[in-house]
Amino acid sequence: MKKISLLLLLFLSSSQSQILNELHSPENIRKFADYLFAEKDYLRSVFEYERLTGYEFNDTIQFKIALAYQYMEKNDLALEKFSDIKSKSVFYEESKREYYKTLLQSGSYEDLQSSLINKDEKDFQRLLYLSYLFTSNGLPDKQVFSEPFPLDEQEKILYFYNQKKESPYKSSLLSGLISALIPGSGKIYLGEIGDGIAAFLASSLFAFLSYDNFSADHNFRGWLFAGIGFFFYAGNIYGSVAAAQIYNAKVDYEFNANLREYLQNKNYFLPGNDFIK
Amino acid sequence: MKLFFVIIFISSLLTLQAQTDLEKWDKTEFSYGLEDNFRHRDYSFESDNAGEFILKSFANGYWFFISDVDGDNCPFRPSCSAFFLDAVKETNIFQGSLMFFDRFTRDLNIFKKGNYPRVQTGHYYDPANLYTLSKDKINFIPPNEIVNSE
Repeated sequence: MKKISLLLLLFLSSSQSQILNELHSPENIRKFADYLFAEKDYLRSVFEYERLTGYEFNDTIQFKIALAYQYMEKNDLALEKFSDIKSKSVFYEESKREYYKTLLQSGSYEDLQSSLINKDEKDFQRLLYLSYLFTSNGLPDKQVFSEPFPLDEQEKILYFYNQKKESPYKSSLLSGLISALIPGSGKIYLGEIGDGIAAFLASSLFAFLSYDNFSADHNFRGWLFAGIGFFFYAGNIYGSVAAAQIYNAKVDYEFNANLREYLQNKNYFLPGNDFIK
Repeated sequence: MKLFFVIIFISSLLTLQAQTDLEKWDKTEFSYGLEDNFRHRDYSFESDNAGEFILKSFANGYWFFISDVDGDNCPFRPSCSAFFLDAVKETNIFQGSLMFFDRFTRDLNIFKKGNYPRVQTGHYYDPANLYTLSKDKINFIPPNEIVNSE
């Protein structure tokens, strides 16, 4: 009886470990990794896919790992993984496109431009021209620029092109000059009306205090308020020039953010894949 | 019978091993108050040159005798006095003074809400490096975005 119960115990424990082994079979790991990938849990899906590479070599898994890194914006790792895909693989062409897309996404515009400048394929041309929208050099003619894009998207693309060509910047020189004429007007020119009015009031108040004290023969106070007033006046001219630079930085920021959002929605004009279902 | 006791002994050992909660949980000390900016002030006199030493002395005097007593009233981070120090360090005493007066004017604007990003304490984030007239130093952050560092 004792022996039977001992054997039963042993049998139960071995069957338990068998169930565990099946759970961690390559097939189940793959299914779980695919599930995580489809759920956009990319970090954990990479962990599971990496476990699979210990069992077998599979270029689909390699490509998915690279894609997962790209979606997580771990661009260095994504670039490394995409460039590891061999030319014999069915994913080779796709991985090349994704590699350049990752370069564009990571802001490595110069690397992208030097790699794609002599390529004629439309996918690559589109990526090259899109990279010019983020840099301030090399923007081709409007006709040439819009040619590789689909007809129904050309209007939107040309809108970004025109925005880049004629950015709605404000002049820092003009802003400073008009602030010198009327304190605060430079800020109003930049749309900062509250700051402009505050600058006008501060400069005017100290100018009046100075004038009033000089009129009453209080020379020390007259000079004191004149000195403070001068710094408010000069500080406002300086601030108007600085504010124009910040305004222009804001224009660039908004342009880049809008363009990036548009391109992400369009998957950078590259054909998508059906991994995420 | 002996075997039965051996099995019971082994299984109880395993159960003991599975017990991970050996250290009992305890309540944690947590403050719901907003952090004081004063705690992060650098009151040292460390300076690279005589001018900076004089300026730091004035700033320390202002902080110790006036600002710390008056309370945390500046809506900006860095505060106007800290901005002045940063501005002089980034540029020079004259340009730093102009930057400070411009900041002070912007502080006078009662309609500034919504014009600046914020730090976690709710203060407006407005660092000196935006105003040095060096375009490379301008790192634009959209208004109302929360900035992690002060």
